[in-house]
This record gives sequence, C-alpha cells and structure tokens, in this order.
Amino acid sequence: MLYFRLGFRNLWRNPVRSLISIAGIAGSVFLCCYLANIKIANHQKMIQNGVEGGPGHLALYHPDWLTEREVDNLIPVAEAIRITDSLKHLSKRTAFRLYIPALAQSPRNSEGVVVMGMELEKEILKHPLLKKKVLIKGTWHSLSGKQDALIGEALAKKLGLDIGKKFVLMVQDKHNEINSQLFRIRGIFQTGLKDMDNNTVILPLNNAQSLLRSENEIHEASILLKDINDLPESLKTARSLKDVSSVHPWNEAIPQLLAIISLDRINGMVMAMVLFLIVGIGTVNALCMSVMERTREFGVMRAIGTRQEKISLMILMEGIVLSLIGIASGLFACILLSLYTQKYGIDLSSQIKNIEAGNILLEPIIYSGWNFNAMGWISLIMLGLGIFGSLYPVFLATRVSPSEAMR
Amino acid sequence: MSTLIELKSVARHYTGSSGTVRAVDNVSLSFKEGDFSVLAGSSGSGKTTLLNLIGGIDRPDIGEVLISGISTQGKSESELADLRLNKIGFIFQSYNLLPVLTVYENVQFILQIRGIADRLHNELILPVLKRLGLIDLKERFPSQLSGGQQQRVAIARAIVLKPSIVLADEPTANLDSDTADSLLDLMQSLNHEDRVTFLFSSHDPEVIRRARTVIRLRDGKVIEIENR
Repeated sequence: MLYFRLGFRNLWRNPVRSLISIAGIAGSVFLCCYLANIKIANHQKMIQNGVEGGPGHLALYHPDWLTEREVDNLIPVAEAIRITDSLKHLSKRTAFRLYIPALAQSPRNSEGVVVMGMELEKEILKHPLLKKKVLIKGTWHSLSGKQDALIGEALAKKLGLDIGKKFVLMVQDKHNEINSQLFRIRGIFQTGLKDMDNNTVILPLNNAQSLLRSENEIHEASILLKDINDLPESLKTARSLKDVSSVHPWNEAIPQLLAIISLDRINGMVMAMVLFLIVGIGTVNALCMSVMERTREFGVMRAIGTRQEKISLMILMEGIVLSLIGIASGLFACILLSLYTQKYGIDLSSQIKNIEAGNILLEPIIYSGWNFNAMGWISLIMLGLGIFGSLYPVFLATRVSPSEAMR
Repeated sequence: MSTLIELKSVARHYTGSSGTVRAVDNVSLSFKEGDFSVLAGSSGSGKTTLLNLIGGIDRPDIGEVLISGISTQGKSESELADLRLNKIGFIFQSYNLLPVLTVYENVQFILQIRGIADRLHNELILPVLKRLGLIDLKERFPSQLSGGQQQRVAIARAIVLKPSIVLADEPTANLDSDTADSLLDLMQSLNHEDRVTFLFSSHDPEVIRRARTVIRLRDGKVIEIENR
C-alpha cells in the first residue's frame, strides 16, 4: 500500500506533466472506446438495413445466383413458398424479388437500368429504403395495372419523364429473347441512394415476371427472422426442404457488407494503434523525466537497503497509477457521451444529407451502442502500455549507483 | 565487546582525467559494539568514501570489508542491499528523506522494504518517534520541517530496525550550532542508553570533541587513531 501511495504522490510532484500524461491516456481511451461504441451501433444499423433491404437473415437463390447474376438463374415461387411456410413461426417477413437488367427508353433518351420486381404492398412499408416517405410524386397504392411502374427521381429526369408518362423497358427474357414492354410512371421516388435513384425502376412482381416471361419464378426469396438467434435452426430447416434452390445466411448473401464492416474495423484498429503508440511514448517520456529528476532519491533508497525489485515495483506503480487514472477518466467521459448519443444521437443532417455504404443508406444521425468487449480490451491495452512504458524508466532507476547518486 | 565492522587493507581508487586518485589507501580498521567514533579530516581526505565502503554502498578495489563477520566481497547488489538493510543505519548530510512521504511514512518505508507486517509498524515506529520528539510531527511532510527536525527523522529511520551500527555522513554540516548540539546530545544519549553504535564522518569540531574514538585521515590514509 505504501508503494501505491508513493507512486500516487510522486505523480503529483510535477502535476502539470502528470496531468498532460493522464490527459493523453484519458483522451485515447475516450476516443477509442467512444469510436468503438459508435462503430458497433453503426455496424448493427448497416447489417439491419442490409439484411432488411436485401436477402433477409436467410435467402433462397438459384445455386449460381451469387456468383453469376444471370436473369435465367431463377427459382420456383412454389418452392420458396413451401420453404417459407415451414419457417412461418420463426419468420417476421418474407419477400420475393426479381432483379432484371434492362434498357429504359423514352422519347428523349435511353438509359441502362435495373428493374426490381417486388411485392409492393408487402414491402413498401418495410423496406428500409422505401418505408420512409420517399415517393415524391404519384402513388404506389393499388398498382395493379400491367403497365404500372415506379421510377427513381434522377432517372426520370435523365429520361425526361414525369408522372403518367410512358416509357419502354427492353430486357433479355429468361429464354434469351429480347422482350420490350411499355410502362407508365405511377410514382417517382427519391431514396437518397444514388444507385437506386439513378437507375432503378420498380415494378410490381407480376409485371416484372411478365417482362421476364418467367411466371411463377423469382430471383430472391428474402426471409427476415423474428430473432437472429433462430438463424441456425431456420437454415437447417430450409436446407432440408430445398429442392432446386440454395439457402444462404445473410453474411454469405451480402459478403460485401461484411467486407465494408471489416475494413471499417481495421481502420479503427489502425487509428487505435497510432494513438496507443503516441500515448506509450508519452508515458515513457513522463516516467523517464520523473525518474531522472529523482536519481538521488533512488540512490538513497538503494543505500538504505531497498532492493532493485522494490524500486522497480515503485516505478511500475507510478506507471500503473498514471494509467489507471487516465483509463478511469477516459471511460467515464466515454460512458457519459455514449449515454447521450445512444439516446439523442449526433445529428449531422445539416452537414451531410445521407451516408452511403455499400448500397446501404444510413441516416446522418450518429448513434452509439455499447461495445463492452472493445472497452475492456482498450483499457487493458492502456494498462499494459503503462506497465510497458515503465520498463525503460525502471531500467534507468535500477542502474543508479548509490554512491554516485549521493555524491 | 564484539567487533561489528572490520576493514582489512582496504583501498579504493578512482581514475579520472587528472589521473588516479587514491581516495582510500590501504586502510585497516575495526569498530566494536557501542562505539561512538568519528572519521575526521579535511575535504577530500577520503572520509565519505571510507564510510561508503564500510556501509557496503561502494566496493573496495583491494582488501576486504567484514560487517558482523560477513565479508562484502563477491556479494551481489541484492545481497549487499539486504546486508545494509539488516545491519546498518544511514544518516546523510542532507537528510535525504523521501519528500512525498510523511514523517511516519518515511520511517515506515524501511519497515516496508524489510517486509515487516503492517500490524507491527505502530508498535515499532511510535516509540522511536516519541524518543526523538517527533510524535507530534508524524503527519508532516519533510518540507514542513526544519533542518534539525528532518535530521531527527533521518535518525529515526536509521535506528528503527535496531541496526548493528549507524553510519552518519557529516550529519551536522547543514545545521546551525544549537540544532547540531541538540542532535549530538540525542545521538550520545542513544549511544549511552540504547547502546546504538555510531560512526561519523565529519570535520565538525563539536562532533570530534564528543567522539570516543577519532580516526584522522589524510589523502585516503589513516594518520592517527585517538582513543579517549
């Protein structure tokens, strides 16, 4: 206890220096932990949006769909219904979709587009991109006409089209034949996602199937589960029931999302390592200065019989005390700010309109979650740095010759 | 009286830019329990070097130092530290107290490094502080004490473990004569009443006057031993 007290008091012999070191440690802990908390919330949101707007927690595809997005890589609706029905107790929502590359032609222009065939009534209120009030003109209700279509706002502009206007979609159908049909714009949407607004046409599923000449077939059956923890069971059941389709969990279906998240994590780690390095050097510097100023004291300690190990312990204690105060302050600040941003978020909408990441749109409001794992590791690493940073000062202090020091 | 310290033909040389300095040159001495001795001589006569050799702080180039019959030759740094801790108490010219510890804690520090259980600390420290008139100052830090008071704390630290011998390097050099007198009174009474053995290095005439044995040094050599 006396060593701990000694370490603590020694730090306050030069309060400015110690406070700067503590501020460095606290700042790093705060930054790293707070960023980890923001990142985890952001990643969860990205996964949620990616999963809800894409394959769901698990998806049924043609076995070749994930490697080759050919229009004829279709699965029968009947099989998708059979499998999703068997998962009804676990499932929150299922959606059948088609994705068709097409050429959109208007009297003024022509553009390459992606046609999304969707069960509009089912999806429009739940799809993360569409559930918000993204329809800026027209309606998506009761689109039962064979020519009904919704179109992205930027695409409508490029084609010089507006509500009620007609345009032609030309596709390669499932029999590798050219098929073109006339459509009329019933609604214009603006999601904020460039790809979606620039080159997407949404058709009711029946219309898309008709365009592709593939009645009763789809590209994707997206199944959203009530609880992500049911994924292994659902996957097992779905795989046991499949016939021609293949069943994929979300992470296989959208690997690019995982890649983005991994890259983001690596970025965070690199930043943390740079901070750790700076703090490590700062700690070594502060302790070295402190040790070198006390050469005589260490000489006296050695003279009165203090063993080198005990002197090492004292300096280690200084490093530990310095780190612990810094870590505690950093964690405290992180917890306070995380609580605030968890509840209220940081609204960046005045600076940024929308944040796009891998075809996923995120709101420009930053929320934080709790990454206790990262907080624990960051604190431990900082403590380790404090101890590691004490090693050179320990080496210096134990090399002090008592007779030289007291001369 | 048994021999506490014995020096056999001890020499310590320093080599500098101006050549080799014989700080201690072929000195043989012994000190017995209950001694109140002083190494006297002018600056550079080798008093402090000899005291450091006796205390195991420094090692001789030639010869042998025995502390309670144990030779310091070939001992590791840790073994020497243990020997100093268990057998020798030190008092320095500039007190050398740990500035961040209180009076009580400065004395406690020596018990702590010796590994004495915390529950025994009060029992060992308080009587010593009382004996040295420091009991009311025990919560003060060295910076809140006068020079004389600080030197008393240094004495308390030196004697709390009841060492075989207390080595005092110019203990009165930084004190005014009244304070130095009262401190020497105290050390004399510790010597008489508590049988604490003292060896001083000093050129203070008052210390030399009070010592029972005066060992005079010049250029690292013993030139005279005066027993009174």
